Amino acid sequence: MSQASAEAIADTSFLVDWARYRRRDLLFQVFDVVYVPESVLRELKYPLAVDWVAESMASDKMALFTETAELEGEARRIMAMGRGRPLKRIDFPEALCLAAGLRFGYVVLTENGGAYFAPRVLGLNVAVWRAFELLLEAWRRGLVEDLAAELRRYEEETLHLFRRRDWELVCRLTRC
Amino acid sequence: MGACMSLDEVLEWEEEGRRVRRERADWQLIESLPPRLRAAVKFFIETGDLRLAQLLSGLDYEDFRELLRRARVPVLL
Repeated sequence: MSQASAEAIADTSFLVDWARYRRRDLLFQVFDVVYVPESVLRELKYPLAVDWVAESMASDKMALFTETAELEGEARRIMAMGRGRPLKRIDFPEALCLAAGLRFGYVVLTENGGAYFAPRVLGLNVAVWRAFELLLEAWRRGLVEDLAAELRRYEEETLHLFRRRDWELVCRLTRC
Repeated sequence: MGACMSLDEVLEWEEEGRRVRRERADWQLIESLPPRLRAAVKFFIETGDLRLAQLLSGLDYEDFRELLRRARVPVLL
């Protein structure tokens, strides 16, 4: 994992799950600011995510990301690149986050398969993290004491499971 | 991110996700859902494509994600 940018941009799939996690404010110990695109903000509906995002924006930990025509064009280009490849579809909100990550160097936070695999399948020079990479980074920085226990807590609280290969990596890193 | 991803690697991820979703799902609840929601949840279990499954369901993103939690279908990525 490369040195993290101090700024990230999050899509709906990430925010909706991460908002359910009891230690969700770990996010702001890893990133100075997390941008939320307008299109993502419009998709948030339940108080858990909406209240958290509103509070975080009020305290400048999150910021609204306004889409531009240039970035929208880049997002559509990324979506087109994915067609005909062994890759889950990339939809517009996720493609926009990838485009912003490419343009501004933000880490893209997502739980969308198309967006997560895009850098490796399409050769895009952008860092894309799931909750797994975020918790791993938090552990590396000493913000999380027991990585495996924290990952299990995240799974229980969000019903978002990590892969066998992820757990194998955790075992190698923590010598479990 | 690392080097380019092989087709085998993509298929391995897809297969693990499909297997875990099938095993963990509350099939009794899924079979009791209205036809459109049932079809969308089954589509998600087979493909892992949350966006397209959500569109098929006719629900907003968060409503569909809640439906998956109710049906004990995990998101695995």
